[in-house]
Amino acid sequence: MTIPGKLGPVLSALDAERGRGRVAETLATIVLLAVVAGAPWIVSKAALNDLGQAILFGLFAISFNIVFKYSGLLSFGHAAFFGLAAYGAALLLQAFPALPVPVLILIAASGAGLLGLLLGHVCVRRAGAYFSMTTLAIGAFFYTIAFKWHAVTGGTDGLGSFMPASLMLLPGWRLVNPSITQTYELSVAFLIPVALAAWFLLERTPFGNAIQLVRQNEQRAVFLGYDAHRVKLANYGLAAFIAGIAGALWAIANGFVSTDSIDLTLSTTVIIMTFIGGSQWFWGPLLGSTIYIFGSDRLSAVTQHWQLWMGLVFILLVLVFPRGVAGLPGMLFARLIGRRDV
Amino acid sequence: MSFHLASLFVAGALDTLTYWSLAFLIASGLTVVFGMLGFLNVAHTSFYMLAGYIAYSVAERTGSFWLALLLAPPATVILGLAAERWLFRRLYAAGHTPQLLLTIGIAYVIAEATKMVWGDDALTVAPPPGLRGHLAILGATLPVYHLFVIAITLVLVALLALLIGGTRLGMVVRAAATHPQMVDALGFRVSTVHMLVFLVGLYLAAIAGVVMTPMVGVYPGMADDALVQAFIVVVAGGLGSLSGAFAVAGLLGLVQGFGSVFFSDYALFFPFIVLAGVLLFRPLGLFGARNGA
Repeated sequence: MTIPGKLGPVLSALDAERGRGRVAETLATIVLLAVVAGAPWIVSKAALNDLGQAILFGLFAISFNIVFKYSGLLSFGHAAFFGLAAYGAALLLQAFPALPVPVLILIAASGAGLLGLLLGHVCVRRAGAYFSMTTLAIGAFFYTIAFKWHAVTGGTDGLGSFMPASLMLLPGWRLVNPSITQTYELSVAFLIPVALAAWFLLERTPFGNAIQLVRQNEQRAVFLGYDAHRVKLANYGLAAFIAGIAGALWAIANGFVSTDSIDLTLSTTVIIMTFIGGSQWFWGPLLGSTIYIFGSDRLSAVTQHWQLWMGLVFILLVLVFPRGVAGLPGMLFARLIGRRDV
Repeated sequence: MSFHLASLFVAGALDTLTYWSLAFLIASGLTVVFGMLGFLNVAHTSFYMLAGYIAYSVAERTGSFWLALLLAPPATVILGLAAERWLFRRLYAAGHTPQLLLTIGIAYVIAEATKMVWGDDALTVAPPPGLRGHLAILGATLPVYHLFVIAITLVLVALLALLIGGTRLGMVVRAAATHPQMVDALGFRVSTVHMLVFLVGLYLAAIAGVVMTPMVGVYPGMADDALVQAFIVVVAGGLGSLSGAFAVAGLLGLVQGFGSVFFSDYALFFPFIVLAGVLLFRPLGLFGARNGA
């Protein structure tokens, strides 16, 4: 692959390094997306319901990981963007029941994206623990608004009954009383194009190259004339926008929004999902959210305190398999051929 | 009128000091451990919560709050030290991400374990007999218990200052914070010093958890609530700065104590306003050094 512009020599070295696993990655991506798209024909209704939740959280986790994987920043308040768009979509539907879904989602997600750009100005400047702590405070701030502003958000009761009797997909195409399968297909119809576009943007365009360069070697990027802060800010805004899409879709798919979609628990859950799946693979978070949702479903059937087991498994994972489930094949392969440096 | 103002002032001052005390007790361990080890412990306030729950059980069984105050912090500290010895220590050199992830997992487990043992409801115990009353000063009625919280914090902070500033041990600790290799070369075991610092930080947070039990009670979300406050104190104070944490805890107390009198509806937003205000003028925090982040 040719890399445009002045980053060519810098990034082609990185590229060669990554080339080894690329075929396997592409294959895994195709299989994963095929399973997601074909699920209505494969799995049961109950499982489809779970999978629907999993892919919405998966898109959210992918957006979290865009900040982590491509900018090296671990956000502790990512639910702010998800929640803002979820409340935004709910309130918009309440006010304009005939708004077509794509427009609705675009408005809600743009709001989240703009908020990301605004907040990014403050928090993206500092890396490491500082970023994590600042984003936690920001997330808590927005949670507090949702919690206190009862007149608009319904406080802890949340917002229900904002779904119109028939949902306008496109002018002239309405969805009346959508079934689980239809809701699922609607989610997939957004997830796959949006996530693929984000992947393409980050992996195959000059914009993505700049972001990756800043992550790899910020000093060098600055010497090459990039404004590192703006590059990271743009990435943060992109992630917030995608989190917004996930949040708005979540509101539509569930017909209910409460402080659960903006609280600290959601911000930490998305971290757990991402690292269960594996942060080094673009689609790892989607894998992680699926494992998390199905795992919690199975566990909660056995014990009321499934979160305890989920937490223990996660601790073990962090200590033993820091690359998550998506990193397992690579680790096993490396073990098999006796390489130790992977 | 002036009499009314005076009573408002006294009540506000007491709230300020109480809040200051609790915020500092909780945040001090977090910031010192971060400053010395570069270790950000998300589960710090989970141990604070655990201490509160243990105190509840002890007070419930024995009927003595004093026994709870005596026993719950060491019990919590032992659990914390076990986590330090077998889990945290592996990751001191591993960078922030694995540390954050591990401690998130531990916070998750502690949160669920406390729900499993103590249930989902808020629990509270009565203050001990001698501390149940109220004092009337300048027309304000002040709960004696709040005075006790302030007093115990003062004693602990004084002891801590004496320990760090006035003893040989404190000298080693201070040296280990800035020159760990040198201290190691001089024959002190730095990992033991770190463990000691960890222990003291947990102990202070645990005391805060115990004294909270008769005031607000213990409830499942208390670790998260305290974590947000503690992070704000640490960030606004400057990462790793104990004096910064002390100052910002005071600032938070002031805003909380007096702000609540006039704008009680917005009390939940005060910490964020303080954080934004401080970072606006000092982006690295009040006493921020360049070694953070």
